[in-house]
Amino acid sequence: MIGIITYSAQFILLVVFQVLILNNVELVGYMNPYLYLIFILILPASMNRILLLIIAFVLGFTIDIFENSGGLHASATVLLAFIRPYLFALIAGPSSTELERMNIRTLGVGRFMLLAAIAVFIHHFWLFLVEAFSFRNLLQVIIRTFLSGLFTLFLIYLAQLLVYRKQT
Amino acid sequence: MRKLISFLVRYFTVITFLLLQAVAFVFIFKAQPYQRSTIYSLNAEWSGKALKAYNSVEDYLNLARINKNLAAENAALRAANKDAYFSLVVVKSEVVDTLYSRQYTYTEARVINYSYQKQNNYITLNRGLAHGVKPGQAVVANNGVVGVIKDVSKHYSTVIPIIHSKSLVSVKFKNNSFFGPLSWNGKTHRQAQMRDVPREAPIVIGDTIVSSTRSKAFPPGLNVGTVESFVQNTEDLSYEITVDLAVDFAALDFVYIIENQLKIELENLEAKLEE
Repeated sequence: MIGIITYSAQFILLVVFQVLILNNVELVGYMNPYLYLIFILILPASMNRILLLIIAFVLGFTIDIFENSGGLHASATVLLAFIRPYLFALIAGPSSTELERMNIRTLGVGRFMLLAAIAVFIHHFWLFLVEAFSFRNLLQVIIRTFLSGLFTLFLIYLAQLLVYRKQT
Repeated sequence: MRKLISFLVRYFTVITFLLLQAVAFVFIFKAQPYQRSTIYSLNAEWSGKALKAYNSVEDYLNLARINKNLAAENAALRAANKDAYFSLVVVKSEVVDTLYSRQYTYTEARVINYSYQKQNNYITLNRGLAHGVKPGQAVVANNGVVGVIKDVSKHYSTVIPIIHSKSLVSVKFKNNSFFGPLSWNGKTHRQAQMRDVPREAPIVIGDTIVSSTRSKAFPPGLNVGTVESFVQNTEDLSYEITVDLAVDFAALDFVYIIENQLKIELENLEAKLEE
């Protein structure tokens, strides 16, 4: 029960932060970070996959409503949720479902950031590809994915440090 | 049996995934303008409310810049006022005449949300049905053309700016009457592309591009931008011109919504040609 409240709070916090602050951050005209996708990564690994997909859709669609982008973020976030179990198995091995939470502390900095990097680049690539809607501008899509992806990863790292900093 | 069940479970996940993707893509594609407008109106209504609250804070922080812009605009308007000119012609008599009927009305509006770094950018304005805004009306800033109203809710409206991949505005040269459609290739919010300019057109870099009468929403002669460079199409020898846009879409505050009161009359007349 406490878990649900915590996750709901994180959901709202991430959406508010994304819509009010990050959507107004643009560097070089290309870099727009999408930190909200971290929510899909921090949900419990043992979570029901159907429920995960539905939550991902709701999350993406909420962002879409504020960005006026139809179902763009919903599509990218659902894709990320769909491949998440395979990603976890790839990064954390077969024992992945035993880990309740995936974060810097349980996985270690290296493995967690690798997980985040793959997730971010798949999500961003799909997002920018569907937005451009053709392979004509593939180079531009890749540049956008790369620049925004680096920015998002940097924010994910900061967020993780902030939440899981070593208690001294 | 167990294998079968696990297979079904996995299959069910894939089905859910594909279903949700399909729903997302339906929202992306949405061809029917009606559903689209109702959904976007709803969106505009309550995301508009949330963004308005945020904007009131931002407003305060931007006051200095807005004041400066308004002062500049005031100065420009005063310069355009009749009183600012010394009349070279002695007017003998003034006739109050009914020969002129008003064609364009202007409604001031505030930009409450906008994007400029995407392929499909949108602008949200704080004016809607209640203020007489209708889809298809023109939106201009004090220095040039911004775009066209797309969806309207009771208090808000959304705009397709020039920097939208599906935006199409008819423009012409200021100093001659060659015209062409202005669209956007998605690269930078400072430039758009004018296509299909005939090869006879005398183009000089720096030429001013203005709105043409062919786009019924815009009053003719509104500033759009200047010619930055041009290339000739090898097939039909027409020119494609890169236009430096006059409006900076990264810094929009106040805009005006223009209603052409004769637009319906014009469209009805032209529709008869197709019958």
